[in-house]
Amino acid sequence: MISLVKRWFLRVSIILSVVGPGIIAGTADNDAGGITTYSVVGAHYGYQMLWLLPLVGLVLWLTQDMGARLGLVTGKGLAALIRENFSIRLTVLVILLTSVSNWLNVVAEFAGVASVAQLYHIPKTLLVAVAAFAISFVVIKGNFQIVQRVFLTSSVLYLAYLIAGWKANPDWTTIFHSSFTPHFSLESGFLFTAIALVGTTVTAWGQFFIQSYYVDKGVKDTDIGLMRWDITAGTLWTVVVAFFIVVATASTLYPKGIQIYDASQAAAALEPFAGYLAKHLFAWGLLNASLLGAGVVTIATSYLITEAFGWEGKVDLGLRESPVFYKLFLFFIVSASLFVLIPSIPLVPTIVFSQALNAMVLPLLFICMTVLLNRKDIMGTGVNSPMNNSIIIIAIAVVCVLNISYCYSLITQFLKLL
Amino acid sequence: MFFLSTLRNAPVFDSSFAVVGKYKDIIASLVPDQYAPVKGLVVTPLKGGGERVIPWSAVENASRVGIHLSTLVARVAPVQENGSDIRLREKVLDHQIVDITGVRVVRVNDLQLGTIEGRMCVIAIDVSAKALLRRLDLDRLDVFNLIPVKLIDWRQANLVAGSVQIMALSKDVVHIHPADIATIVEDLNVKQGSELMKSLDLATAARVFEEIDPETRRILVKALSPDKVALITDKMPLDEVVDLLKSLPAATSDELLSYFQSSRAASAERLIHYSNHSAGGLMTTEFIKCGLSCTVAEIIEEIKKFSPAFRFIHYVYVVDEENRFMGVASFRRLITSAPNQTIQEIMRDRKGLKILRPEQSLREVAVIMAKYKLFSAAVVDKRRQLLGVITMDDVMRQLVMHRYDV
Repeated sequence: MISLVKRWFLRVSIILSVVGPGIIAGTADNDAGGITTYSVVGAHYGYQMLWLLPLVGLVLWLTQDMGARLGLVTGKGLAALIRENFSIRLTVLVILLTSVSNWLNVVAEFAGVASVAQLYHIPKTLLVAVAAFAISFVVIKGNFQIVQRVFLTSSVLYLAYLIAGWKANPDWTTIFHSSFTPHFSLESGFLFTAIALVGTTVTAWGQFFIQSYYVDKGVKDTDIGLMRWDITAGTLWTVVVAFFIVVATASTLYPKGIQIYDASQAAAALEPFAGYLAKHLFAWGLLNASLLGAGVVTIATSYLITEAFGWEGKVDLGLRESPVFYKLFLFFIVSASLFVLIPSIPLVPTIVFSQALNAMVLPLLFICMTVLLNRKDIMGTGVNSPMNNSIIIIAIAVVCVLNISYCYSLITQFLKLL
Repeated sequence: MFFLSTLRNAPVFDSSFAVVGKYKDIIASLVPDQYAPVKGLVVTPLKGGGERVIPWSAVENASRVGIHLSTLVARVAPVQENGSDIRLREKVLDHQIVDITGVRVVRVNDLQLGTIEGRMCVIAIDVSAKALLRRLDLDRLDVFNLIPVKLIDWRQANLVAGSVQIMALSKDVVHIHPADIATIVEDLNVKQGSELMKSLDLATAARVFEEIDPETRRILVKALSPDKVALITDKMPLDEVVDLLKSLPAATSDELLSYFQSSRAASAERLIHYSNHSAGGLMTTEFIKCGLSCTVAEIIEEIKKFSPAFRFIHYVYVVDEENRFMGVASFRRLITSAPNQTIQEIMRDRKGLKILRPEQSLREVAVIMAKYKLFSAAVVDKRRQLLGVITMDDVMRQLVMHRYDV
């Protein structure tokens, strides 16, 4: 009996030593921007886009698996690999684009915090300041394990959306039906939203984050099976949460034709139809997602910059051990939170611009990763199989096409405004 | 002297001033403790693809504008690369190196080459931001020359890309302090770090292991095999081992314990139950202990025998037949006493000594030790049993961690 318990403990501790990056990276992809997108998808298009979610999940799984394998075999982060194997110009370009896009992304997270403050009639300066302080405190004062625990807890809190979706009394037969019937339209709004769906879920920072995270956790090549479970669990959770957000707004706001532009409006609009619990769950879910997103994106960005330019340091070291990392971290948090507080700052264009930049970096990043994954001197026996390559090339092509049309529609919309 | 990056895309001319190809890379030979002599130039031929390695002796001059050969390209015999050769652009530029004097891991932003005793050699590694600007052709932005060029002497640098290079690194770092080696291990990635730990001799590895921060240590334990960790921890003082065991997940710590000798495992398990910040958690159970009737000569013999096993021996602790604490004898006392005196005659009796209880907090321990100017103190339980000894360095380390959060 005791040996059984002991063996079980051993199992759990082995699993825990690998699990985490996939789940955290996956859920953090559903950040403030992601939740806004899903709420809008549900409110404006009902269940029409549900069938896209499994595909988004598949692309997410494939790309995260690529990054994780690169990390496991080489023991290096993506930024280091790009720097070592491609030209310095390309490295600087990738780092610059990713950093700017990430900074704007952090701005979007704080905008999410600010919108929750407005929903509850709290001064937004106060809540944003508290949020910025809380994130900095956890990351700077806490060690690797504490940070990981906070992030994992936050990932579990996304449960709020499942309850909110359930509370909205959706029509399950219609949902089942539309999940399996592809619906397509060439109308620009539809395309725009569909691309945003991919854009908010598959992100450049996610690629950097997951790879460095596995490397720093000291996960060995032999743990590849467990690592895949981690990624699969993370992807499933991401898709399930997204599914319930879409369902929540699709079953309440869509039939009434209520238009929303961000997630806090969705929370407010939900109240008359799904009850005040749904509203609060939505609002608190958004706050949680913004905090997780802000933490993860800033860590990923400070990390990739220090790694590419050679001031390496790990997340777990104290402030004095890797000052550049923490300086960058604080710079990101402070500047982004101050930016959000500037009155009459146009937030929607910022978020859109961030996603457009992200969409531009992604193909570049995937091409680099595919090249690296096919090099025998780097991957040894772990090189990509032809099957894997063709799937990835298709995925890259799809992401590229979506991105180009996204940028095109952005520009045309912008021109219309002029 | 020139920087490697300035050769980027430089055309290669032979003695007929015809362009024969484009610069691709430079090959240097690695010689321990010397500037690496340049061996050859790798050229991408204009036609036919592939590459051609030209011996550096055939190179007349090299600069941003072009590389000139002293003979016709057809007359040049190609060079063979061997194991000690390294391609500078492919394998060194943009890769990580360990700067031994600066005790850090940095990325190579550029390389400086120059003539030393008539031979072209790699002289220094540029790790500054200036080098990055230079490579991006943006160095003109730094009009007032505000960004300094930071060079590391090539001989002080160690490459860390392959396991051969890690072996060389382990030979070079043995001369520096274990705490500094620990900093390097922390800065390297897990793979390289564990590789370096493996190639150090066990005694050094144990010292280094003690100095590594707990978080990295936990990850390293996972990356190294348990038997290797057991070998390293075998050379560590027991209190340090217990600290390590406490920081590990229960299963890993149990696994590690199973590799220990049974007596060591038993004492470790006893110590594990004390909190880190109590006297019980701070103390070590490895100290020299003797009975009341021992003579000075016997004890000195004992110390000679066991000396290598202990980090510090400042006092000898005296107990009676039932392991009850009776007193201490300092090293000085032992040396200045006659060899045939018994320890009972020369020791300081426990009544005149400050002792500590295992449950006392770090704060109390520190205050007592500071107030009574103790270098070490015995930890004794209610039944006067001698449990262990706390030395100043353990208290110091815990205090620094508390106070300065490092």
